[in-house]
Amino acid sequence: MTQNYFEIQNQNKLLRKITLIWLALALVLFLLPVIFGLLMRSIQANILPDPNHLFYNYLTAHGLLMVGIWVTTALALLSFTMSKYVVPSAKLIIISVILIVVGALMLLWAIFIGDMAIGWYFLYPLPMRLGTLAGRIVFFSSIGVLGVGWLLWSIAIFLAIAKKYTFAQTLGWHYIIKKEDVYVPPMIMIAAVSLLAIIICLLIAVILLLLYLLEFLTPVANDALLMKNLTFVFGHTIVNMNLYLVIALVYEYFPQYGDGEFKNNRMLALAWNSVLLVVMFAYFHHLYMDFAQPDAIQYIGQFASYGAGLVAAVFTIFSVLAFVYTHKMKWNFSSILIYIAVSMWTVGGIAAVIDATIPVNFRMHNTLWVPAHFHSYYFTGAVMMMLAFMWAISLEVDSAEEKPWIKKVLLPVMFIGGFGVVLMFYFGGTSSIPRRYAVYPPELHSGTVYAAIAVGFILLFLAGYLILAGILAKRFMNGLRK
Amino acid sequence: MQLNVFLSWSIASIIVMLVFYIVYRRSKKEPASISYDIINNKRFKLLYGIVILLFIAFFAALSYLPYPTKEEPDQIIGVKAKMFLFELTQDTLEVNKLIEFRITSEDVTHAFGVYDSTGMLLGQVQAMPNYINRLRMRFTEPGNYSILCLEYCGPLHHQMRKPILVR
Repeated sequence: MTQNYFEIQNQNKLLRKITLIWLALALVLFLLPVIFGLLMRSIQANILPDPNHLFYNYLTAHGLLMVGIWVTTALALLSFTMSKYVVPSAKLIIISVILIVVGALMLLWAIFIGDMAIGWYFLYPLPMRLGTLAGRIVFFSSIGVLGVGWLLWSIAIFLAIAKKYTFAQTLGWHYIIKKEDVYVPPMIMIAAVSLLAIIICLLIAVILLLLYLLEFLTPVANDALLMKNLTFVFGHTIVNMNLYLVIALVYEYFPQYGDGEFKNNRMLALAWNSVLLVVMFAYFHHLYMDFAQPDAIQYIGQFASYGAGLVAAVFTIFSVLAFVYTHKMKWNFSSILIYIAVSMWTVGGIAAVIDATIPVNFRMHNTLWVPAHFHSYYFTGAVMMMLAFMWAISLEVDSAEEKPWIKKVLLPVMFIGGFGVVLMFYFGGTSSIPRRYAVYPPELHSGTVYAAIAVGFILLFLAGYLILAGILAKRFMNGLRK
Repeated sequence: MQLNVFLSWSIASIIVMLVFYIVYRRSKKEPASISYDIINNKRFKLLYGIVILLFIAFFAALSYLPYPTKEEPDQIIGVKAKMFLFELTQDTLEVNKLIEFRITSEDVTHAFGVYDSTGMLLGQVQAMPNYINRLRMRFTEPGNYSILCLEYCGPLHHQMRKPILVR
């Protein structure tokens, strides 16, 4: 079966145009952090020299660009897909895209010219010690510009939703109190929950930036533990919500391949509202190894991290499996990739829940186990899902048909490449290999071997991705001309 | 512990992948006609199962917390971390004694990771400016151990290490 099963009833031409432009741009931009990742693993494997000591610059750019590109892509996919229910303002989105592109360019300048090799979560007080003064100013300004871009986009989506649903309906509260007067698609409800959390963490980022500014301008030094808490409530939550925005889209796209739908109901509304409560406290697991943090906070962190995993397993993952079990599925590149990505999300989630257990974290924190689990649900999970949605959209906008080799050859190549990358991280974590090491010491030689094998898998993924991105970009360009 | 963690994750992941595969195979046949109530019934069974499992894990974890207790330590070692070295008040430790490391940082955030001679991580704690984190460890084997920095702290982060001797 090679036809497209997803229909987008999109009437807004400007929205369609800006979405296609961003998606094509994202496909190209994504190559940058992938190449930085390839360079990092090659340096760790002693395959490539690093004469200019750029490893930590690559590391910083890799993490921040990945988050930047895929949060934006999730917003683009969401606003495009939701336009069959409510249409967000294309003009606001265009301003957001411009801000995000400017922010990304500033970020690259700060990291490579301003030498702000400070890691993706720029842990205080590292940014006050590394890089040039101009680098610091441009770095924090770029975070501000990106934040405003995302905030505007989130507001555009909320304004659109508010035209049709009340706040209570959007969050499904009428299901909770058993007053089913308006049907709210799960995608809208889950996206609203995620965007609400994103807006909260962007406001926290404003506090964080103001505290940095205060330290720039006055002799007052900030409290390291407070700054770390603020950094992670922002950094962790925005990445987590990026994932949930993608899950919101799974609720919309996936059932169409079985001619059904995921229905909203009281249980789903309860689950996602509890996610909103739980997820804001899950970030505490980043601070388990800060023994100065009160013990009670650590237990709350473990409880909240378990809770977030539970909701995901019982609702989204179970629903996907139950749907496939009870429907005649039409398996094409998109539906298989979404299905595999949900399984990888589960696999990464299990590793994350294990690592969210305090005694385990004592031995695994800041080893390669951490990139292992987040690459599982981010790279082989969320990113693959977004590529699957892009594929569905590309077939629609270019009125194209899917060739059989796409799912028979391209999909296995990309998936095996991706899985190999994360598996090498798991092996590294099990061998206590620290994350973020440009060079491994002699007693941790196995880290070098895993890195070398990972290079092969990255190249495999990259080969598949280049073909996919080429096809997608061409279709998006064709779509733009129509 | 690391191997046990890996094995637990591997077994759980293989089960997950098998379930996904079996359901995928099933989808190629005629779809199963199961009522929504039965599906929800199974969903709740899964919910209760996972809740019980997580509660057991949660309370089991509380028995193995790395945080300091009221027990008096036998030996106290002061540790100052700074770009890119560790300064210890003493780098020879006694075997089978309860050692308390009192760790702080002079500049940025570092982490104090204790590795045994085979390169396995035994435990860690963050080193933060203006805070003292107390890490307690009991070394049951004499030998050479290493302290490695486990929080990215700048261009020579990977070189920040210190050997210690337990006898």
